[in-house]
Amino acid sequence: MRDRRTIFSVFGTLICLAIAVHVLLALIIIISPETSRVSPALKFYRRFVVLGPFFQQPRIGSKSHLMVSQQVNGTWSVPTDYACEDVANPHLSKNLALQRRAFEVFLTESVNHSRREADRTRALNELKMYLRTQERFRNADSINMVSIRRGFSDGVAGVDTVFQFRFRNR
Amino acid sequence: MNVQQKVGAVVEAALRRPLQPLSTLVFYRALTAAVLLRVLLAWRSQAMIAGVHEFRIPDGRISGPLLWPARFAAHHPHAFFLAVVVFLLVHLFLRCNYITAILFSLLAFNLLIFTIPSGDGGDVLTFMLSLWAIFLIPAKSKSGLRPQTLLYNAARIGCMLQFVFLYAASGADKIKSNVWTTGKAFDYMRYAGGMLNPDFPSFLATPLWDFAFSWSAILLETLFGVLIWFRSCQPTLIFMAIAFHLGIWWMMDLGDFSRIMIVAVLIFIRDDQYAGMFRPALLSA
Repeated sequence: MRDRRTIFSVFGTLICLAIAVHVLLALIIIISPETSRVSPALKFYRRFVVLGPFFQQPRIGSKSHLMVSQQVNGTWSVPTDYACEDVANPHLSKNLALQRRAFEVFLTESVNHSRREADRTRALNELKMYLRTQERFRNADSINMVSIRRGFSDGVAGVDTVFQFRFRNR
Repeated sequence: MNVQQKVGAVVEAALRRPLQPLSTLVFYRALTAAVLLRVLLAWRSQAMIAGVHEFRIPDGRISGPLLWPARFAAHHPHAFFLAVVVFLLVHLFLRCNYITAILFSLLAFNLLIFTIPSGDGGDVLTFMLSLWAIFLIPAKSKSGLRPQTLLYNAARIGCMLQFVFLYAASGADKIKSNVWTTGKAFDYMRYAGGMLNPDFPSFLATPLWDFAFSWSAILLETLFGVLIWFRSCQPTLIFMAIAFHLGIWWMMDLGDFSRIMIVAVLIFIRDDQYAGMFRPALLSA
């Protein structure tokens, strides 16, 4: 009985020590997030244990938007950010509109940040397929998409065009 | 009593008595319900995404079997979601054990991978909480020294720390950010577009309110991790954290993230507080 108690006490003390180390590593990341580059353990902590920080200045400073226009019977429509329009539309499911917008931003960012041409082409094709699934473009002869980034850069407000792509819908 | 004796006393207590079992049970059920809701709300959009997006899910010796459900979901989203809903309903109403808890965590990990194209930080938090929750299974026997009880208590502390670290990291970042301390963060988000709820009332979008919201977030996030361990501060902080996340939900349309954060806060409510909350209702029934 005494041996069992000793084993449990050692086990318990080890867990207490593990918690103390856990807190210490997390504090290092919280105080100095850039130290996570030093070792894989700290990198793991940055990614899974000390989540965030959310809403960092670079992330809230600018946002990617996809402006889409369609050509029907030779006439081009006004470029519109349909993803944001759908979120504001009270007649559509807000949850679905938000998820679709998140996916659209994900694809647009994939095109913007792909280092390899093959990855860029793949993301661009998925963006085309995604637009083709939408009912509003069913009668379009051609679709034009312009990716813009709106926000603040060095404290100055502005809009940058990131890429433009036009394709035939049929 | 020296330090060694004090540690010994803490360890002995942690081996004998599971901390706040009612609170843990409510937290675990709420976590399962939140994942169920996440799945139901993501079903339609994820099925659409699976139709156009080519998922690149690792298929190595370890990742292969672990991520098999996510690969299956990429090709058969409806079958995957149906199976997940059935499992979660069973998990929600039946008594948990280690096997179902491990399956639940595995499911949360696969959902995290499968929903990357439309997900947010809430999915990572869900997975991490589900990972800790594997050990949140109370021992069947309530007497004697139990290593299972020790693991349960450590996991409960792990869940609490997960939340505290998240707040502390966000608070520390905001305090270092000029945009947040001046209250201009919301101005930035409004200009960038696509981040704030278009239905959020315009009378709450003034510099004064922006400043008040910014500093409410900074103060809550930085002080929570320090004050939550004091009994007298707990009810106020829990109430403020829930109100804060309901506010984020309304202002920024971040329903999934806010829901899981509110669920995570539940672990800080003590058993006696639950009893205090529900006793009047039970007595009047």
